[in-house]
Amino acid sequence: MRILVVEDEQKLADALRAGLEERHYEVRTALTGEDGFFLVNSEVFDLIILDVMLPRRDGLEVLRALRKQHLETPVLLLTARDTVEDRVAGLDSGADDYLIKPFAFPELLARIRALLRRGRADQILRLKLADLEMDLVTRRVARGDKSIELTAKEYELLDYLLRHAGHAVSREMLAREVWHSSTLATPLDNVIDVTMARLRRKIDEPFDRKLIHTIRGVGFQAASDES
Amino acid sequence: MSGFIRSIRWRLTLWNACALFAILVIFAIGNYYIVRARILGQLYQDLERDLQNVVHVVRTEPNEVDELENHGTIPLFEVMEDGKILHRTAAWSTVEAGMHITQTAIVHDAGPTYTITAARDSTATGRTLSTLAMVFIILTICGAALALAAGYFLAGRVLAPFGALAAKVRAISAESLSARLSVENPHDEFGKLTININETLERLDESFERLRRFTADASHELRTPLTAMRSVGEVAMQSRHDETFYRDAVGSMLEEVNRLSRLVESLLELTRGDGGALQIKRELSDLGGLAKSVVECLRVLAEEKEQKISLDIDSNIYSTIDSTVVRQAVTNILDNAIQYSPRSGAIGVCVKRVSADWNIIEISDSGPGIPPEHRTKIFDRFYRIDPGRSRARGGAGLGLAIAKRAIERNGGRIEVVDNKTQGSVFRIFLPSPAAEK
Repeated sequence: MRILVVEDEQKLADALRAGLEERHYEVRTALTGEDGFFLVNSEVFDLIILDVMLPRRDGLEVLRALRKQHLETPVLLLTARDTVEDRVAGLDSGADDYLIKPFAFPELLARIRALLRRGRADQILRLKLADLEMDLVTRRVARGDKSIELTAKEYELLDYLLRHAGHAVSREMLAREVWHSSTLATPLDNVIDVTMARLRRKIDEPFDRKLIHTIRGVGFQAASDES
Repeated sequence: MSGFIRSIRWRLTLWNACALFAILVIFAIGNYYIVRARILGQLYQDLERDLQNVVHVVRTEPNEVDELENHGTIPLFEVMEDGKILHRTAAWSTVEAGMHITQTAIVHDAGPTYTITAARDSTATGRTLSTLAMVFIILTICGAALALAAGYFLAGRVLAPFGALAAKVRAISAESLSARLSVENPHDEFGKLTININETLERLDESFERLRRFTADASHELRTPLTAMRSVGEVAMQSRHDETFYRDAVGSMLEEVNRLSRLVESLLELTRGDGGALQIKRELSDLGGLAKSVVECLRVLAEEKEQKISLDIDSNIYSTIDSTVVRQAVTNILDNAIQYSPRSGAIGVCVKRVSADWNIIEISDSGPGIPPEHRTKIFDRFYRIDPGRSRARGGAGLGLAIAKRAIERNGGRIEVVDNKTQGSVFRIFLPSPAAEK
């Protein structure tokens, strides 16, 4: 999978390249809108990550120019301005998704996965991680042959963690995707922590093998081994 | 040209001079014509008398006409008898040359037809009138010029205080906003203007002060996580460590980054409300449903502390609000109630209609209560009753400030009172749709 990163902040561009390459994506970076535009026209990419605020030619302009050429590559916008108008302007210009700076890297990864998966229907009926099994049809959760009772929120939380198994999940992502809250505030942080603690009490505490891990400063991760 | 026309002083002066000029012109023309009519009237009257005298003589004794001239009272006349000259005074030849007025009468009684013409010299009259006109013109022009000068001077004097005021206002900058202008006479227009400016300054001063305090507090709040990040990073770089140590250090720094992001988010939320830049989308929302969903969301926090949340929610309580914004306010307040109520304490959430105009969401806690002297300040940004305690929980003292702004932007208000038994009650008033029509 080839990803183009158009970002004028060298430090951020480098960090994105390093982070994405670690996840086995092939990454090209461009520091200006013009370079980015040139690269898109000369090479083939599966996804473009585009900063809105770029010197000389801004991200939205580049995006409009690309869409005018009927380029179908999914585009993820990075923006520091998060008013509704900015979002609408971005999506109207032909963006597929947007992320507000400062964003959490795990969230960027999740968005990239979602965009690359787009168009492919993947009806999942069962989530599995080591001996933990989640039947999405009967909503039964079990570890080995021991059935586990979860509340609705705990169930949703586990569902989300398992769908992103192997990947880190930030509190922001949980707030938005599981708690459906657009604003992240301290109260919700506490709610997430408490719910997570309760989930772990049920899923991990009685067992030797721990499946839900805290990554300090980043968030949480469901994984079959310590990583 | 347009440059000085724009100055009020010049405009006043010009208007003033124009008005006076117009008055002078009307006055001069009127005067001139009255005097002219008078003088000419006299002249024509004299001429008519001359003519009648000559006619009388011609009628009674036509041969005595010469005598009339010798008498010398009627200097200019001519008598024609059937087209032939009967008599012409000696000075008649001047009639054609100089300025004269003439009058003719025809006498046709029995004998021959007499055409009698009398004349009077009008040169002097003409000269008088033109002198008069000249005098009027000069006076009008002088008057206008004088009006211009006097107007300019007067306008200058009237406007001088404005100039002084402008200079004083100009001297006021962000640093000296506390300065006020002196009011000499509070009852004239000028005094009223000064008072208005002073009031504006007062408001500016207040909001500046608030902003200054806010910026200072915000910087202080931002400094705390920054200091932590820096220390952790510097210690990690001090000497070589194993991977676990570094992971721990980076993780710790990331935690501080999250805290910073959270803080910046909250600050943005607050400032948005200030500038009114963020449009809120108000629509008819069920307050009971909103309160229930907030309780459901935060219930786990109460359960951890074995607290009981009792609900007293009337159905069909609607307000026109932006539910996302109000939800956040209610969340912040309920979170506070949970935090400040003791273990196994009681929390109450009540939604009802209190009057035709107002709905209320009431959240009561069983915490230590809020001393009266803190009650108005708890909604200020960064205000904490006990600074050490709430910061340990990660709060920056913005929760209630955000809640207050959120409610006010939805046309409501928020107040805190003592609970009957123990703790405090936060009351969120929101207008009912009927009140808004």
